[in-house]
Amino acid sequence: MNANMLALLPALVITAVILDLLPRRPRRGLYFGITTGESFARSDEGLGIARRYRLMVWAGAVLALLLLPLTHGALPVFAQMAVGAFAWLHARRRAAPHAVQPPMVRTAVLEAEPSTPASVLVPLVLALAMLAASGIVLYLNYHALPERIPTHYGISGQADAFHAKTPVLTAMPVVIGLLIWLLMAMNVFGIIHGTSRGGAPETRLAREAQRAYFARLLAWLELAIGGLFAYIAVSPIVSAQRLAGSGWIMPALTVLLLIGPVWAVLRWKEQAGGAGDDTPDACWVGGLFYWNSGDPALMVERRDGVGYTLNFAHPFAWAQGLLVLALVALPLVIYSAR
Amino acid sequence: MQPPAIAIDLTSPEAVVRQLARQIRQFIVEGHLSPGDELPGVRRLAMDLGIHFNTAAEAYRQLASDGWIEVNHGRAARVRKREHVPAAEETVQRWSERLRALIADTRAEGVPVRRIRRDLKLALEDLER
Repeated sequence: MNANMLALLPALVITAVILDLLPRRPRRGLYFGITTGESFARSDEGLGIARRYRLMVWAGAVLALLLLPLTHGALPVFAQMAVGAFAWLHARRRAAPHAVQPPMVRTAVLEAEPSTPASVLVPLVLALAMLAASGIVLYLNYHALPERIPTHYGISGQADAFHAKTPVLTAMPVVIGLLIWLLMAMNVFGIIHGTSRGGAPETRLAREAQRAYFARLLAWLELAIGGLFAYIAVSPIVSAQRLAGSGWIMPALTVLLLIGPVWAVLRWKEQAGGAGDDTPDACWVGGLFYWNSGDPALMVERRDGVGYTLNFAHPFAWAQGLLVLALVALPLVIYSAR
Repeated sequence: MQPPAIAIDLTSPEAVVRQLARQIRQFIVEGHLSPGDELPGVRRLAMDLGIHFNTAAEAYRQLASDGWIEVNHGRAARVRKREHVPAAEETVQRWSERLRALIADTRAEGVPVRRIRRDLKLALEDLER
């Protein structure tokens, strides 16, 4: 079993488990992203749709596992994702005839704007401080850096690509870390301040708790990511060949990044009452992407059960899109223009 | 105390602006909102109810122009302390007529008298709390 297989195997299994869990934890009154009402998931038709969906998901996982020893790239992952997407869309098509209208009575509480909790602010501020500190350390030690600095590390932490030292290239990990920080901060504040607080009174407190939980999860994840980029930025000062302590840091971070979403799925508590999430089915593309220019919310609860997604008709969603684009394009432009 | 909750019925013939303004006014009159209490921002309220920003803003403007709330740019809207203004004789007369007409309509629709009496009593208790 080579390193590529070792790295992909847990990802394939965890992806299959997550895909399998989705219909087991349907959102209130939603089934495969369609507003069907609460009882449909337990009906013969609903159970049949879920059975076929899970069969396809695990078939996709088996296919990916069979491809694993035969290829060296990410083909098994793409194959699994393609089968998963097909299974999801197929289930939606079968559930669509059972759609019901979302509630026409909307409720909201009249309370002042909530403040951002310290449990969210502290990790974000710490992550920013670490990135800023790494920038200062790099600036002060610029002349001590080797003439060729590492620009890419393998999974083992060994540097496998190098470029001639320039100020821009040296600062890249910090810049990328700051862009990720900005993206994560926008999501965290979007969840706390930009998500609807409506819904039936009995579900409101549960939604409030979920918002706080997800914002905290993202903020602490950002602390880990910010710390990692700060560490990568200053690492060449110590060694130009490998990340110091990389024997355990990279696997630990990989496990952390995989455990986070799985933990989020398990912690997600279904909310009682109501049919649907107050958003119209017609505004969901494939049940995954929300586009509603009439909805002022920046973020809405995902329809596949866990977490939040953007309202892509909101201007801020496009600002996030530009940030992601910058994150992808910036390293490509900088590293190719050496 | 739980903060008061607003319910907007999108199928109601009453305009959303009017539903919103009426319910906030009702919460103030019944004491669920006190002078100085902060209201959610217009964007926040619109987001929570899934209505347009301008609709919520218009309801706040109406309440502000009627003296129920104060709206200052860049600050949260607050419930205003209202001076007691004695009603004109004509207003009192109109109120009596509207109440009688409402009771007559309600009875004509088959609601029992004891139910009407109970609801009126509850409304009075809320008013005097």
